Amino acid sequence: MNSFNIIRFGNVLRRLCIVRRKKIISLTLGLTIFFALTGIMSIDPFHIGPIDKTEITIRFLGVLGMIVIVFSTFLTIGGYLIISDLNNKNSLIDELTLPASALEKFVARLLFVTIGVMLSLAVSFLVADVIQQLLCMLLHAGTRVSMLGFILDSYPGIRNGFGSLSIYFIAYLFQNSIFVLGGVFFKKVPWLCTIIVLFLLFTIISLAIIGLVSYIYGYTNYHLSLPDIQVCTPLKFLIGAVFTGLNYFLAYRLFCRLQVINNRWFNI
Amino acid sequence: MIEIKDLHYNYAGSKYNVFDGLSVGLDNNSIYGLLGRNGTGKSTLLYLIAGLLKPKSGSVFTNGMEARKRHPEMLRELYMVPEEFELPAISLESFIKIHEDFYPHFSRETLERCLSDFQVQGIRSLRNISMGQKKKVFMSFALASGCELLLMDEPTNGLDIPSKALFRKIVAGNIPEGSTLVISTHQVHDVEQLLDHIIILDNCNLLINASTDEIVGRYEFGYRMPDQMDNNILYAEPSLQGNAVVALRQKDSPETPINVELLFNAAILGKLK
Repeated sequence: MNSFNIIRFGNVLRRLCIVRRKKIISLTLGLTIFFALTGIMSIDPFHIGPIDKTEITIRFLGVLGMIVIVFSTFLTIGGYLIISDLNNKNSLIDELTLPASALEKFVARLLFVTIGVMLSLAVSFLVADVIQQLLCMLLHAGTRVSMLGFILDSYPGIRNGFGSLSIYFIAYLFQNSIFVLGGVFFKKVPWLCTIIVLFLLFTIISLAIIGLVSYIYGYTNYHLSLPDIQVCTPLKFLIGAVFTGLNYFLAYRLFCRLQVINNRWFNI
Repeated sequence: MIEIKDLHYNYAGSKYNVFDGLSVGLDNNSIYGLLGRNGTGKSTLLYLIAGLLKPKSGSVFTNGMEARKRHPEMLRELYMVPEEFELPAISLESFIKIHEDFYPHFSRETLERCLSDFQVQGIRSLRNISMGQKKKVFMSFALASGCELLLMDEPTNGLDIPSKALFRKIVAGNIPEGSTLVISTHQVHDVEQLLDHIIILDNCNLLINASTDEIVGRYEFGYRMPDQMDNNILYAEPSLQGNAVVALRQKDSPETPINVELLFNAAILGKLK
Protein backbone atom coordinates (compact mmCIF):
# COMPACT_ATOMS: atom_id res chain seq x y z
CA MET A 1 0.00 0.00 0.00
CA ASN A 2 1.45 3.35 -1.07
CA SER A 3 0.91 5.72 1.85
CA PHE A 4 2.54 8.79 0.25
CA ASN A 5 2.41 9.31 -3.48
CA ILE A 6 3.84 12.67 -4.50
CA ILE A 7 1.62 13.07 -7.56
CA ARG A 8 -1.49 12.21 -5.61
CA PHE A 9 -0.34 14.54 -2.83
CA GLY A 10 -0.03 17.31 -5.41
CA ASN A 11 -3.61 16.66 -6.54
CA VAL A 12 -4.79 16.75 -2.91
CA LEU A 13 -2.98 20.03 -2.27
CA ARG A 14 -4.32 21.58 -5.47
CA ARG A 15 -7.87 20.53 -4.60
CA LEU A 16 -7.52 21.87 -1.07
CA CYS A 17 -6.24 25.24 -2.27
CA ILE A 18 -9.13 25.58 -4.72
CA VAL A 19 -11.82 24.42 -2.30
CA ARG A 20 -10.54 26.61 0.57
CA ARG A 21 -9.43 29.58 -1.48
CA LYS A 22 -12.42 31.63 -0.32
CA LYS A 23 -11.22 31.28 3.28
CA ILE A 24 -7.65 32.29 2.55
CA ILE A 25 -8.75 35.16 0.31
CA SER A 26 -11.12 36.52 2.96
CA LEU A 27 -8.38 36.17 5.61
CA THR A 28 -5.89 37.98 3.38
CA LEU A 29 -8.36 40.71 2.48
CA GLY A 30 -9.38 41.24 6.09
CA LEU A 31 -5.78 41.49 7.24
CA THR A 32 -4.88 43.77 4.33
CA ILE A 33 -7.70 46.13 5.30
CA PHE A 34 -6.62 46.07 8.95
CA PHE A 35 -2.91 46.70 8.22
CA ALA A 36 -3.72 49.29 5.57
CA LEU A 37 -6.08 51.22 7.86
CA THR A 38 -3.54 51.06 10.70
CA GLY A 39 -0.84 52.35 8.40
CA ILE A 40 -3.04 55.05 6.87
CA MET A 41 -4.19 56.35 10.25
CA SER A 42 -0.51 56.62 11.23
CA ILE A 43 0.42 58.93 8.34
CA ASP A 44 -1.85 61.80 9.45
CA PRO A 45 -4.32 61.43 6.54
CA PHE A 46 -6.26 64.58 7.47
CA HIS A 47 -3.24 66.83 6.94
CA ILE A 48 -2.38 67.43 3.28
CA GLY A 49 1.06 68.81 2.70
CA PRO A 50 4.72 68.00 3.32
CA ILE A 51 5.49 66.04 6.47
CA ASP A 52 8.71 65.02 8.14
CA LYS A 53 9.72 61.35 7.90
CA THR A 54 10.58 61.37 11.58
CA GLU A 55 7.03 62.36 12.48
CA ILE A 56 5.66 59.40 10.49
CA THR A 57 8.20 57.08 12.14
CA ILE A 58 7.11 58.26 15.61
CA ARG A 59 3.47 57.61 14.67
CA PHE A 60 4.36 54.12 13.44
CA LEU A 61 5.96 53.47 16.82
CA GLY A 62 2.55 53.99 18.38
CA VAL A 63 0.90 51.28 16.29
CA LEU A 64 3.86 48.92 16.05
CA GLY A 65 2.78 47.01 19.14
CA MET A 66 -0.72 46.42 17.79
CA ILE A 67 0.58 45.30 14.39
CA VAL A 68 3.03 42.87 15.97
CA ILE A 69 0.33 41.49 18.30
CA VAL A 70 -2.15 40.92 15.47
CA PHE A 71 0.55 39.48 13.21
CA SER A 72 1.91 37.10 15.81
CA THR A 73 -1.58 36.14 17.04
CA PHE A 74 -2.68 35.01 13.59
CA LEU A 75 0.68 33.36 13.02
CA THR A 76 0.41 31.50 16.31
CA ILE A 77 -3.20 30.40 16.31
CA GLY A 78 -3.57 29.98 12.54
CA GLY A 79 -2.92 26.26 13.03
CA TYR A 80 -6.45 25.84 14.38
CA LEU A 81 -7.74 26.28 10.81
CA ILE A 82 -6.41 22.85 9.86
CA ILE A 83 -9.82 21.13 9.74
CA SER A 84 -12.09 24.12 10.38
CA ASP A 85 -13.83 23.49 7.02
CA LEU A 86 -14.77 19.91 8.06
CA ASN A 87 -17.45 21.15 10.42
CA ASN A 88 -20.35 19.20 8.96
CA LYS A 89 -21.18 15.71 7.73
CA ASN A 90 -21.13 16.64 4.06
CA SER A 91 -17.64 18.10 4.02
CA LEU A 92 -16.36 15.20 6.11
CA ILE A 93 -17.76 12.71 3.59
CA ASP A 94 -16.01 14.61 0.77
CA GLU A 95 -12.72 14.63 2.63
CA LEU A 96 -12.71 11.12 4.05
CA THR A 97 -13.78 9.44 0.78
CA LEU A 98 -11.23 11.33 -1.31
CA PRO A 99 -8.95 8.64 -2.76
CA ALA A 100 -5.75 9.64 -1.03
CA SER A 101 -3.98 8.46 2.09
CA ALA A 102 -4.59 10.13 5.44
CA LEU A 103 -0.95 11.22 5.47
CA GLU A 104 -1.26 13.02 2.14
CA LYS A 105 -4.45 14.77 3.24
CA PHE A 106 -2.94 15.75 6.60
CA VAL A 107 0.31 17.06 5.16
CA ALA A 108 -1.63 19.08 2.57
CA ARG A 109 -3.74 20.64 5.32
CA LEU A 110 -0.67 21.24 7.48
CA LEU A 111 1.08 23.06 4.66
CA PHE A 112 -2.08 25.08 4.08
CA VAL A 113 -2.23 26.32 7.68
CA THR A 114 1.51 26.91 8.09
CA ILE A 115 2.79 28.17 4.76
CA GLY A 116 -0.64 29.30 3.58
CA VAL A 117 -1.32 31.44 6.65
CA MET A 118 2.26 32.80 6.62
CA LEU A 119 1.93 33.76 2.96
CA SER A 120 -1.47 35.31 3.62
CA LEU A 121 -0.03 37.44 6.44
CA ALA A 122 3.02 38.39 4.40
CA VAL A 123 1.02 39.32 1.29
CA SER A 124 -1.56 41.29 3.27
CA PHE A 125 1.14 43.23 5.11
CA LEU A 126 3.12 43.98 1.95
CA VAL A 127 0.04 45.09 0.03
CA ALA A 128 -1.09 47.25 2.96
CA ASP A 129 2.39 48.75 3.13
CA VAL A 130 2.31 49.63 -0.56
CA ILE A 131 -1.16 51.17 -0.17
CA GLN A 132 -0.15 53.34 2.78
CA GLN A 133 3.07 54.45 1.04
CA LEU A 134 1.16 55.43 -2.11
CA LEU A 135 -1.39 57.36 -0.09
CA CYS A 136 1.36 58.97 1.95
CA MET A 137 3.17 60.12 -1.22
CA LEU A 138 -0.11 61.53 -2.55
CA LEU A 139 -1.01 63.39 0.63
CA HIS A 140 2.42 64.48 1.77
CA ALA A 141 4.22 65.55 -1.41
CA GLY A 142 6.24 62.41 -1.99
CA THR A 143 7.20 61.63 1.61
CA ARG A 144 6.89 57.97 2.46
CA VAL A 145 8.01 55.53 5.11
CA SER A 146 7.72 51.78 4.70
CA MET A 147 6.08 49.93 7.63
CA LEU A 148 8.11 46.85 6.75
CA GLY A 149 11.37 48.78 6.80
CA PHE A 150 10.40 50.36 10.10
CA ILE A 151 9.67 46.94 11.68
CA LEU A 152 12.94 45.48 10.39
CA ASP A 153 14.79 48.42 11.95
CA SER A 154 12.89 48.00 15.22
CA TYR A 155 13.73 44.27 15.40
CA PRO A 156 17.39 44.00 14.33
CA GLY A 157 17.34 40.28 15.08
CA ILE A 158 15.27 39.72 11.92
CA ARG A 159 17.90 41.43 9.78
CA ASN A 160 20.68 39.25 11.19
CA GLY A 161 20.00 36.63 8.55
CA PHE A 162 19.35 32.93 8.41
CA GLY A 163 20.35 32.12 12.01
CA SER A 164 17.83 34.49 13.60
CA LEU A 165 15.11 33.63 11.09
CA SER A 166 15.55 29.95 11.75
CA ILE A 167 15.10 30.54 15.49
CA TYR A 168 11.88 32.44 14.82
CA PHE A 169 10.73 29.70 12.42
CA ILE A 170 11.37 26.94 14.96
CA ALA A 171 9.51 28.90 17.63
CA TYR A 172 6.67 29.46 15.15
CA LEU A 173 6.50 25.73 14.37
CA PHE A 174 6.28 24.89 18.06
CA GLN A 175 3.39 27.27 18.62
CA ASN A 176 1.76 26.21 15.37
CA SER A 177 1.94 22.53 16.37
CA ILE A 178 0.03 23.24 19.59
CA PHE A 179 -2.81 24.93 17.72
CA VAL A 180 -2.79 22.30 14.98
CA LEU A 181 -3.28 19.66 17.67
CA GLY A 182 -6.00 21.76 19.28
CA GLY A 183 -7.62 22.35 15.90
CA VAL A 184 -7.85 18.62 15.24
CA PHE A 185 -8.85 17.67 18.79
CA PHE A 186 -11.61 20.18 19.52
CA LYS A 187 -14.76 20.34 17.42
CA LYS A 188 -16.15 23.67 18.58
CA VAL A 189 -14.16 26.94 18.78
CA PRO A 190 -10.84 25.06 18.77
CA TRP A 191 -8.68 28.18 19.09
CA LEU A 192 -10.42 29.25 22.31
CA CYS A 193 -10.43 25.73 23.78
CA THR A 194 -6.71 25.39 23.01
CA ILE A 195 -5.93 28.71 24.68
CA ILE A 196 -7.92 27.71 27.75
CA VAL A 197 -6.15 24.35 27.96
CA LEU A 198 -2.76 26.05 27.55
CA PHE A 199 -3.64 28.53 30.27
CA LEU A 200 -4.69 25.72 32.61
CA LEU A 201 -1.56 23.69 31.83
CA PHE A 202 0.65 26.72 32.34
CA THR A 203 -1.07 27.48 35.66
CA ILE A 204 -0.75 23.89 36.89
CA ILE A 205 2.90 23.62 35.85
CA SER A 206 3.74 27.01 37.39
CA LEU A 207 2.02 26.12 40.65
CA ALA A 208 3.84 22.78 40.70
CA ILE A 209 7.21 24.46 40.16
CA ILE A 210 6.48 27.13 42.79
CA GLY A 211 5.36 24.44 45.19
CA LEU A 212 8.50 22.40 44.55
CA VAL A 213 10.83 25.39 44.96
CA SER A 214 9.03 26.47 48.15
CA TYR A 215 9.38 22.99 49.53
CA ILE A 216 13.06 22.78 48.65
CA TYR A 217 13.87 26.14 50.20
CA GLY A 218 11.47 25.81 53.11
CA TYR A 219 12.12 22.30 54.26
CA THR A 220 15.54 21.30 52.97
CA ASN A 221 19.07 22.69 52.90
CA TYR A 222 19.30 22.39 49.12
CA HIS A 223 19.59 25.29 46.71
CA LEU A 224 18.43 25.37 43.11
CA SER A 225 20.73 26.47 40.29
CA LEU A 226 20.13 26.50 36.57
CA PRO A 227 22.68 24.71 34.34
CA ASP A 228 25.13 26.61 32.16
CA ILE A 229 23.41 28.73 29.48
CA GLN A 230 25.63 27.16 26.78
CA VAL A 231 24.09 23.76 27.53
CA CYS A 232 20.64 25.19 28.20
CA THR A 233 19.92 26.60 24.74
CA PRO A 234 20.53 23.43 22.67
CA LEU A 235 18.58 21.50 25.29
CA LYS A 236 15.66 23.91 24.92
CA PHE A 237 15.74 23.42 21.16
CA LEU A 238 15.83 19.67 21.53
CA ILE A 239 12.87 19.63 23.91
CA GLY A 240 11.00 22.06 21.66
CA ALA A 241 11.68 19.94 18.59
CA VAL A 242 10.55 16.77 20.36
CA PHE A 243 7.31 18.38 21.53
CA THR A 244 6.70 19.92 18.11
CA GLY A 245 7.11 16.55 16.45
CA LEU A 246 4.94 14.88 19.06
CA ASN A 247 2.16 17.44 18.61
CA TYR A 248 2.13 17.02 14.83
CA PHE A 249 2.19 13.23 15.19
CA LEU A 250 -0.73 13.24 17.65
CA ALA A 251 -2.64 15.60 15.37
CA TYR A 252 -2.07 13.19 12.47
CA ARG A 253 -3.28 10.20 14.51
CA LEU A 254 -6.40 12.12 15.50
CA PHE A 255 -6.97 13.09 11.86
CA CYS A 256 -6.83 9.39 10.93
CA ARG A 257 -9.57 8.68 13.48
CA LEU A 258 -12.04 11.26 12.16
CA GLN A 259 -15.49 9.84 11.56
CA VAL A 260 -18.39 11.29 9.64
CA ILE A 261 -20.72 11.29 12.67
CA ASN A 262 -19.40 12.21 16.09
CA ASN A 263 -21.65 13.55 18.83
CA ARG A 264 -18.82 14.41 21.21
CA TRP A 265 -17.21 17.82 21.55
CA PHE A 266 -13.82 16.38 20.69
CA ASN A 267 -12.64 14.29 17.78
CA ILE A 268 -11.80 10.94 19.34
CA MET B 1 -16.89 -7.37 -2.96
CA ILE B 2 -18.30 -6.36 0.46
CA GLU B 3 -17.98 -8.70 3.39
CA ILE B 4 -19.55 -7.75 6.72
CA LYS B 5 -18.98 -10.12 9.62
CA ASP B 6 -20.46 -9.93 13.09
CA LEU B 7 -20.84 -6.18 12.94
CA HIS B 8 -21.64 -4.32 16.13
CA TYR B 9 -22.16 -0.60 16.07
CA ASN B 10 -23.71 2.07 18.25
CA TYR B 11 -23.29 5.82 18.22
CA ALA B 12 -21.21 7.39 20.99
CA GLY B 13 -23.33 8.14 24.02
CA SER B 14 -26.20 5.95 22.84
CA LYS B 15 -27.10 2.61 24.42
CA TYR B 16 -29.12 1.65 21.38
CA ASN B 17 -27.25 -0.80 19.13
CA VAL B 18 -27.68 0.05 15.49
CA PHE B 19 -26.15 -3.29 14.51
CA ASP B 20 -25.83 -6.28 16.78
CA GLY B 21 -23.89 -9.03 15.06
CA LEU B 22 -24.89 -8.27 11.45
CA SER B 23 -23.27 -10.48 8.84
CA VAL B 24 -23.94 -9.99 5.15
CA GLY B 25 -22.07 -10.26 1.88
CA LEU B 26 -22.62 -8.18 -1.24
CA ASP B 27 -21.42 -9.50 -4.58
CA ASN B 28 -20.02 -7.76 -7.62
CA ASN B 29 -22.10 -6.68 -10.57
CA SER B 30 -25.42 -6.18 -8.78
CA ILE B 31 -27.74 -3.38 -7.82
CA TYR B 32 -28.75 -3.67 -4.19
CA GLY B 33 -31.75 -1.97 -2.60
CA LEU B 34 -31.17 -1.29 1.08
CA LEU B 35 -34.50 -0.75 2.78
CA GLY B 36 -35.67 -0.22 6.31
CA ARG B 37 -37.66 2.03 8.57
CA ASN B 38 -36.33 5.35 9.80
CA GLY B 39 -33.45 4.90 12.18
CA THR B 40 -32.72 1.26 11.36
CA GLY B 41 -29.21 2.07 10.15
CA LYS B 42 -29.37 2.19 6.36
CA SER B 43 -27.18 5.29 6.08
CA THR B 44 -25.02 4.00 8.92
CA LEU B 45 -24.38 0.79 6.98
CA LEU B 46 -23.36 2.77 3.91
CA TYR B 47 -20.99 4.86 6.04
CA LEU B 48 -19.48 1.71 7.54
CA ILE B 49 -18.95 0.19 4.09
CA ALA B 50 -17.26 3.41 2.92
CA GLY B 51 -15.03 3.53 6.01
CA LEU B 52 -16.64 6.75 7.20
CA LEU B 53 -17.51 5.12 10.53
CA LYS B 54 -15.55 2.53 12.47
CA PRO B 55 -17.31 -0.54 13.84
CA LYS B 56 -17.29 -1.15 17.59
CA SER B 57 -16.51 -4.77 16.79
CA GLY B 58 -16.67 -7.07 13.82
CA SER B 59 -15.29 -6.34 10.40
CA VAL B 60 -16.26 -4.65 7.18
CA PHE B 61 -14.17 -5.51 4.16
CA THR B 62 -14.66 -3.64 0.91
CA ASN B 63 -12.84 -5.03 -2.12
CA GLY B 64 -10.73 -7.17 0.17
CA MET B 65 -9.55 -4.20 2.23
CA GLU B 66 -10.66 -3.25 5.69
CA ALA B 67 -13.00 -0.30 5.17
CA ARG B 68 -12.09 1.57 8.35
CA LYS B 69 -8.48 1.95 7.21
CA ARG B 70 -9.60 3.98 4.17
CA HIS B 71 -6.84 2.81 1.86
CA PRO B 72 -6.56 4.99 -1.26
CA GLU B 73 -6.74 1.79 -3.35
CA MET B 74 -10.17 1.09 -1.87
CA LEU B 75 -11.38 4.69 -2.04
CA ARG B 76 -10.58 5.13 -5.72
CA GLU B 77 -12.99 2.29 -6.52
CA LEU B 78 -15.71 3.68 -4.26
CA TYR B 79 -17.96 6.69 -4.74
CA MET B 80 -20.58 7.83 -2.29
CA VAL B 81 -23.58 10.02 -3.16
CA PRO B 82 -24.90 11.09 0.25
CA GLU B 83 -28.44 12.23 0.90
CA GLU B 84 -27.29 15.79 1.49
CA PHE B 85 -24.10 17.26 0.16
CA GLU B 86 -22.44 20.52 -0.73
CA LEU B 87 -20.65 21.34 -3.90
CA PRO B 88 -17.90 23.97 -3.73
CA ALA B 89 -18.74 27.35 -5.26
CA ILE B 90 -16.52 26.85 -8.30
CA SER B 91 -17.06 26.20 -11.98
CA LEU B 92 -18.11 22.73 -13.12
CA GLU B 93 -14.92 22.45 -15.17
CA SER B 94 -12.79 23.21 -12.09
CA PHE B 95 -14.73 20.65 -10.06
CA ILE B 96 -14.07 18.02 -12.70
CA LYS B 97 -10.39 18.91 -13.01
CA ILE B 98 -9.69 18.73 -9.27
CA HIS B 99 -11.43 15.38 -8.85
CA GLU B 100 -11.01 13.37 -12.07
CA ASP B 101 -7.36 12.51 -11.41
CA PHE B 102 -8.32 10.63 -8.27
CA TYR B 103 -10.41 8.11 -10.22
CA PRO B 104 -8.38 6.13 -12.76
CA HIS B 105 -11.48 4.99 -14.69
CA PHE B 106 -13.09 8.41 -14.88
CA SER B 107 -14.79 9.08 -18.23
CA ARG B 108 -15.57 12.55 -19.49
CA GLU B 109 -17.70 11.03 -22.20
CA THR B 110 -19.92 9.31 -19.64
CA LEU B 111 -20.13 12.53 -17.64
CA GLU B 112 -21.21 14.56 -20.68
CA ARG B 113 -23.76 11.90 -21.60
CA CYS B 114 -25.23 11.79 -18.06
CA LEU B 115 -25.37 15.57 -17.80
CA SER B 116 -27.13 15.68 -21.15
CA ASP B 117 -29.58 12.94 -20.18
CA PHE B 118 -30.33 14.76 -16.92
CA GLN B 119 -30.80 17.95 -19.00
CA VAL B 120 -28.22 19.91 -17.03
CA GLN B 121 -25.53 20.05 -19.70
CA GLY B 122 -25.69 23.86 -19.80
CA ILE B 123 -24.48 24.29 -16.22
CA ARG B 124 -21.12 26.03 -16.04
CA SER B 125 -20.95 27.14 -12.42
CA LEU B 126 -21.92 25.19 -9.30
CA ARG B 127 -22.51 28.42 -7.45
CA ASN B 128 -26.16 29.29 -7.93
CA ILE B 129 -27.89 26.10 -8.98
CA SER B 130 -30.79 24.39 -7.25
CA MET B 131 -30.49 21.37 -5.00
CA GLY B 132 -32.01 19.11 -7.65
CA GLN B 133 -29.53 20.31 -10.24
CA LYS B 134 -26.63 19.77 -7.82
CA LYS B 135 -27.86 16.24 -7.24
CA LYS B 136 -27.94 15.54 -10.97
CA VAL B 137 -24.41 16.90 -11.41
CA PHE B 138 -23.17 14.90 -8.43
CA MET B 139 -24.80 11.68 -9.63
CA SER B 140 -23.46 12.23 -13.15
CA PHE B 141 -19.98 12.51 -11.67
CA ALA B 142 -20.54 9.37 -9.60
CA LEU B 143 -21.51 7.36 -12.68
CA ALA B 144 -18.63 8.84 -14.69
CA SER B 145 -16.11 7.96 -11.97
CA GLY B 146 -16.08 4.37 -13.18
CA CYS B 147 -15.86 3.08 -9.60
CA GLU B 148 -16.54 -0.56 -8.84
CA LEU B 149 -18.73 0.38 -5.89
CA LEU B 150 -21.30 3.15 -5.89
CA LEU B 151 -23.18 3.97 -2.72
CA MET B 152 -26.26 6.17 -3.00
CA ASP B 153 -28.25 7.39 -0.04
CA GLU B 154 -31.76 8.48 -1.05
CA PRO B 155 -30.68 9.32 -4.60
CA THR B 156 -34.12 10.39 -5.83
CA ASN B 157 -34.79 12.85 -2.98
CA GLY B 158 -34.97 16.31 -4.41
CA LEU B 159 -35.51 15.15 -8.01
CA ASP B 160 -38.61 16.25 -9.85
CA ILE B 161 -41.03 13.60 -11.15
CA PRO B 162 -39.65 13.37 -14.71
CA SER B 163 -36.12 13.17 -13.32
CA LYS B 164 -36.99 10.16 -11.17
CA ALA B 165 -37.79 8.19 -14.32
CA LEU B 166 -34.66 9.60 -15.95
CA PHE B 167 -32.65 8.47 -12.96
CA ARG B 168 -33.56 4.83 -13.57
CA LYS B 169 -32.74 5.07 -17.26
CA ILE B 170 -29.45 6.90 -16.70
CA VAL B 171 -28.25 4.58 -13.96
CA ALA B 172 -29.18 1.46 -15.94
CA GLY B 173 -27.46 2.83 -19.04
CA ASN B 174 -24.30 4.19 -17.46
CA ILE B 175 -23.40 2.07 -14.48
CA PRO B 176 -19.88 0.80 -15.12
CA GLU B 177 -19.55 -2.79 -16.26
CA GLY B 178 -19.06 -5.16 -13.34
CA SER B 179 -19.86 -2.48 -10.75
CA THR B 180 -21.97 -2.80 -7.66
CA LEU B 181 -24.53 -0.17 -6.76
CA VAL B 182 -26.08 0.00 -3.30
CA ILE B 183 -29.11 2.27 -3.04
CA SER B 184 -30.53 3.14 0.34
CA THR B 185 -34.00 4.56 -0.05
CA HIS B 186 -37.54 4.97 1.21
CA GLN B 187 -38.76 5.83 -2.28
CA VAL B 188 -38.97 2.21 -3.41
CA HIS B 189 -41.17 2.94 -6.42
CA ASP B 190 -38.41 5.10 -7.88
CA VAL B 191 -35.87 2.30 -7.93
CA GLU B 192 -37.64 -1.07 -7.74
CA GLN B 193 -37.25 -1.74 -11.45
CA LEU B 194 -33.48 -1.32 -11.13
CA LEU B 195 -32.87 -3.68 -8.26
CA ASP B 196 -31.25 -7.11 -8.56
CA HIS B 197 -31.11 -7.74 -4.86
CA ILE B 198 -33.08 -6.56 -1.84
CA ILE B 199 -31.85 -6.17 1.72
CA ILE B 200 -34.35 -5.18 4.41
CA LEU B 201 -33.12 -4.17 7.86
CA ASP B 202 -35.18 -3.81 11.01
CA ASN B 203 -34.20 -3.57 14.69
CA CYS B 204 -30.62 -4.80 14.20
CA ASN B 205 -31.90 -7.75 12.17
CA LEU B 206 -31.59 -8.69 8.54
CA LEU B 207 -35.18 -9.49 7.54
CA ILE B 208 -34.54 -10.13 3.87
CA ASN B 209 -31.34 -10.64 1.95
CA ALA B 210 -32.29 -12.14 -1.39
CA SER B 211 -32.10 -11.52 -5.10
CA THR B 212 -35.21 -10.35 -6.89
CA ASP B 213 -35.17 -13.64 -8.82
CA GLU B 214 -35.31 -15.60 -5.58
CA ILE B 215 -38.10 -13.38 -4.27
CA VAL B 216 -40.30 -13.66 -7.34
CA GLY B 217 -39.56 -17.39 -7.41
CA ARG B 218 -40.80 -17.76 -3.85
CA TYR B 219 -43.59 -15.19 -3.65
CA GLU B 220 -46.24 -13.81 -5.93
CA PHE B 221 -47.60 -10.28 -5.87
CA GLY B 222 -50.99 -9.25 -7.07
CA TYR B 223 -54.47 -8.04 -6.28
CA ARG B 224 -57.27 -10.21 -4.99
CA MET B 225 -60.89 -9.51 -4.31
CA PRO B 226 -62.16 -10.45 -0.84
CA ASP B 227 -63.67 -13.68 -2.13
CA GLN B 228 -60.34 -14.70 -3.69
CA MET B 229 -58.38 -14.73 -0.47
CA ASP B 230 -56.87 -18.14 0.37
CA ASN B 231 -54.37 -19.78 2.73
CA ASN B 232 -51.39 -19.04 0.51
CA ILE B 233 -51.69 -15.35 1.20
CA LEU B 234 -49.07 -14.22 3.64
CA TYR B 235 -49.94 -10.55 3.77
CA ALA B 236 -52.63 -8.31 2.34
CA GLU B 237 -53.43 -4.65 2.47
CA PRO B 238 -56.50 -2.90 1.10
CA SER B 239 -56.16 -0.88 -2.07
CA LEU B 240 -58.43 0.64 -4.70
CA GLN B 241 -58.00 -2.44 -6.92
CA GLY B 242 -58.89 -4.85 -4.15
CA ASN B 243 -56.42 -6.35 -1.67
CA ALA B 244 -52.78 -6.05 -2.59
CA VAL B 245 -51.35 -9.39 -1.52
CA VAL B 246 -48.10 -11.24 -1.06
CA ALA B 247 -48.66 -14.96 -1.37
CA LEU B 248 -46.55 -18.06 -1.62
CA ARG B 249 -46.02 -18.79 -5.28
CA GLN B 250 -47.47 -22.03 -6.50
CA LYS B 251 -45.41 -24.33 -8.68
CA ASP B 252 -47.24 -23.67 -11.90
CA SER B 253 -48.02 -20.01 -11.35
CA PRO B 254 -46.28 -17.49 -13.54
CA GLU B 255 -43.81 -15.09 -12.00
CA THR B 256 -45.27 -11.75 -11.02
CA PRO B 257 -43.47 -8.41 -10.94
CA ILE B 258 -42.15 -7.63 -7.51
CA ASN B 259 -43.97 -5.06 -5.40
CA VAL B 260 -41.18 -3.87 -3.16
CA GLU B 261 -43.35 -1.71 -0.95
CA LEU B 262 -45.71 -4.61 -0.24
CA LEU B 263 -42.76 -6.93 0.35
CA PHE B 264 -41.28 -4.41 2.76
CA ASN B 265 -44.51 -4.05 4.75
CA ALA B 266 -44.92 -7.81 4.93
CA ALA B 267 -41.34 -8.33 6.06
CA ILE B 268 -41.54 -5.65 8.74
CA LEU B 269 -44.67 -7.26 10.16
CA GLY B 270 -43.02 -10.67 10.15
CA LYS B 271 -45.50 -12.17 7.70
CA LEU B 272 -43.03 -13.75 5.32
CA LYS B 273 -42.10 -17.41 5.62
